[in-house]
Amino acid sequence: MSRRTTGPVFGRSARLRHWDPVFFLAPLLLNAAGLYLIAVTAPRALPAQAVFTAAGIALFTAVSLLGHGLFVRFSRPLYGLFVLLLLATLFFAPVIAGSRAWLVLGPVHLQPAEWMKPVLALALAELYMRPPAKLVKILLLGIVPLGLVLAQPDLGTAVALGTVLAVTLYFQRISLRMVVTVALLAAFLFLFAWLFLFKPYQKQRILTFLFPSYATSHSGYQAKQSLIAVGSGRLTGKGMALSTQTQLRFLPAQHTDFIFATLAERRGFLGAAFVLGLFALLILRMTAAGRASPEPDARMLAYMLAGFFSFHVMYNIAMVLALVPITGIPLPFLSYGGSFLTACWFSAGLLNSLAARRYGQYES
Amino acid sequence: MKKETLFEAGVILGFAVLLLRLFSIQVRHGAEYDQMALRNHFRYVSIPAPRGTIWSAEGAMLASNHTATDLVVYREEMGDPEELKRRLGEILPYRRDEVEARWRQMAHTPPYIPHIILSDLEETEVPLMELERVRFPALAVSKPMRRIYPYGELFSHALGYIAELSPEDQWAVGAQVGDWVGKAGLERTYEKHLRGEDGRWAVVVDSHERKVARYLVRPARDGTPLRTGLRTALHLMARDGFGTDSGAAVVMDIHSGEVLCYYSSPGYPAVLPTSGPAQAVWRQVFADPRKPMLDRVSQGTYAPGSVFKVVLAAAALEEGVWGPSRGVFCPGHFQFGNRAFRCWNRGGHGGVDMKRALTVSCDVYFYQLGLALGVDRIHAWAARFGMEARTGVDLPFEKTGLIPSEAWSQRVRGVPWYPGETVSVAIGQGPVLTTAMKICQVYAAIANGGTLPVPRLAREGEPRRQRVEVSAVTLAFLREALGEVVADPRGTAHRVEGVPTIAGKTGTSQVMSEVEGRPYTKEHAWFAGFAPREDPRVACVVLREHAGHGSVAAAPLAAALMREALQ
Repeated sequence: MSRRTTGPVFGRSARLRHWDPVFFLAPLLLNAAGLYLIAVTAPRALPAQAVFTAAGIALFTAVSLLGHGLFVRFSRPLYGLFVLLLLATLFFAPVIAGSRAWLVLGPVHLQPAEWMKPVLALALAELYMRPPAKLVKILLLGIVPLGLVLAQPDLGTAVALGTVLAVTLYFQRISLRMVVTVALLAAFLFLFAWLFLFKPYQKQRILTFLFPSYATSHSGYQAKQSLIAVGSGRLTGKGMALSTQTQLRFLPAQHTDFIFATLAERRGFLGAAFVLGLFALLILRMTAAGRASPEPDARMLAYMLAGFFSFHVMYNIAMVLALVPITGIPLPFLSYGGSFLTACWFSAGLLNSLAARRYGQYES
Repeated sequence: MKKETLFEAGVILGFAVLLLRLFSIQVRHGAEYDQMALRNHFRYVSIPAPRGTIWSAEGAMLASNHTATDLVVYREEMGDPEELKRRLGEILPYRRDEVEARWRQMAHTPPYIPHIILSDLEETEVPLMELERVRFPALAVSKPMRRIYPYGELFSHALGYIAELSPEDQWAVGAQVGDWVGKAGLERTYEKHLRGEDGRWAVVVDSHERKVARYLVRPARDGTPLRTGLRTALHLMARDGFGTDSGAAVVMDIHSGEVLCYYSSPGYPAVLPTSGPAQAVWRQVFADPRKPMLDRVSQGTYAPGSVFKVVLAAAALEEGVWGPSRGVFCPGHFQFGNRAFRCWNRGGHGGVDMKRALTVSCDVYFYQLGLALGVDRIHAWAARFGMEARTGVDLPFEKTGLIPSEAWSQRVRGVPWYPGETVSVAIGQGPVLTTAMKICQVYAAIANGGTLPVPRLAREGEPRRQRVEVSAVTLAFLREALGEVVADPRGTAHRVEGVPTIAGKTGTSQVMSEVEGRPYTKEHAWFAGFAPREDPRVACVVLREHAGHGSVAAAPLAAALMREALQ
């Protein structure tokens, strides 16, 4: 193996034959569950989500056929494009719910920050094509979109981007001194953000988390209603008609960020645990693909995407179960929203290709 | 490889924590959250049960419920509240104040309950409101049940009235604050009987307290009708008889105790204390110097005057103090110590025995009899006739009378009894107090041969009575003497003689009271009696305040009432 294989050197037929069942079927099942829950809680949002699903699956197929290598190689222009889009949101996006996150292009409403997550993973992976990856470059690539998202300001997405960056740093050989420096920097950044960037409602959420008795406000109400919805689902769920928490609109954001509470109320512990299991299977399959991958860039990509999914799934569900403060972190494949759903399918496509890559090598 | 394993271990640990948390919330504490979910969206609204009707003996409805027409707003449907209010003011300018007042109360009603904006719409106003509903879907006409008393004030003291239960009124078992409950009269005594049981809606509300659906938890159970022995004809006769005078008229069956007439003059208007105009009516009632709210039958206490003389006669015969034939000469006055007590007949009655003394109501005879008995024996025999106890009539707030004794004087007044007072007590004056209802019961006992019937307005339960320890001979003597009062040309009530024959005793009790700041001493007129004379069936008492002599001001009405009662 003297020649580094970075391009699509093996046949497309091989990738089709070794289509990974988990990377396609698990998202498909989750996406279907999401569509069902949207259909029963917000039927008017269903057609749009169906279109996003179709787009997502098409994207998955395209990425699987083209191969993740292509995207790693062309990650720089992609990265540049999304940094520009993020900049554009700061200037042109209307303020919705206190932040500038949505680019409105005619009928298309795009949230570039959601796509920034896999794109950042690609850009960081690209550094590992010529190891060793320089720490400065890693930090530079990470901090630019992080700052832009914080400026929107969108705390949740910033933390999600931070997770991707953190996974890279985790696998880097870095000294203790470095860790301390970064931790201090982060603390300074947090302080700065608290004083100048965070909106009152964001501060409220953090305070609610730190001091639960403080929670008389809206976020306290939301957490309480979410717990009631989840708890009243009990073992087998309340089904359609009796799901009063969602039917009577006591639970806010029931088809977006709190869709897991909707699921738990209707399908009970059995349904919620099944979805939780599907996510665990999907994420462990990602780390397994990373472990099996011989190339450092592919390996890092798999782990970064696993980190990205882990953060979204765990934070979102922990939020629904009132373990962490409420912030705008959607649940992959289930929550309503086009940008995030397609970004998830895109990531799944990258992983599918990454997993098939192994078989390609044996062929060549 | 170590870092990869740690990464995967972290993922597994995270999912394990979430799974445990999920299990704890949904399976271990699921039932608690289920209850919270129910509380979240259920509200209970009561369905008022129609109150039981009250009926007269002839089958006339004395108290019933009518369907009122209220204008209500459903706040869930309300667009611009200011525009709606303005429009209502345009169409019904004369009710603008009421709309304003009720609009201010709207915040206190939850949105899923329609709020009353105008109560008791006139028939002409209903179509106007129906038209406006096209533009204002929040408007609706509701038809609640309201209590009405078709005879107005005629039965007010017998029936009483209902009002919203206030927090202090804890006596009405099973009722809640805000429920309409009986405050006086039969409405109060038979509260449980009449009230029935309110039904209940369970209203499902959404997170904005808007009504989504409702379920019938329990239908309303109507109150039970109440039948009474009251007769409208007697009440009408009593009202006409009293005119503007204050007083009491009561007629009862001497055997069963059933009350046929229970009239206190003046009555009070049968308007429920709800809306603005009604409050003005009530203010007027409370300001009336005649005190219309006072029930003069069983709550007003009066000196009985000469109708009390039967008690002394009975005491004298039973104690063997004086025989019926013992004579007394009445010169028109009686000297006791340095004070002269006058007989009502200043010319004097000459020689009188006991029967004649009752017939002509000779005061001098009874002054001397009273002194011969002494106050304690008068007290003892009055007590035997039950005059220290309530009659037990089925109405609330009945008063007991006062029969003085030497012990009472020491205990209550702190001074020894003065024998001169006994002279007054002998003719039912001085500190003697009783109610018209009690006198009626005593005369019923004389008429029926010695049992005190417990008066009952409602035909509920078995008749109750209480034995009076007086010999049949004495009671027969009293009946004969009371017959002479009417039959004998010298009797004080001779002018009411007719068919069927009646018997009874007149009374004229002196009062000291003030009218508009000046002392006013015109006597209260009494008549207590029974009919028919030979085979009595009904007893009657008429008391007329400040009307003069019982023979003129009370006896004719009593006679008319008893004759009507016997028809």
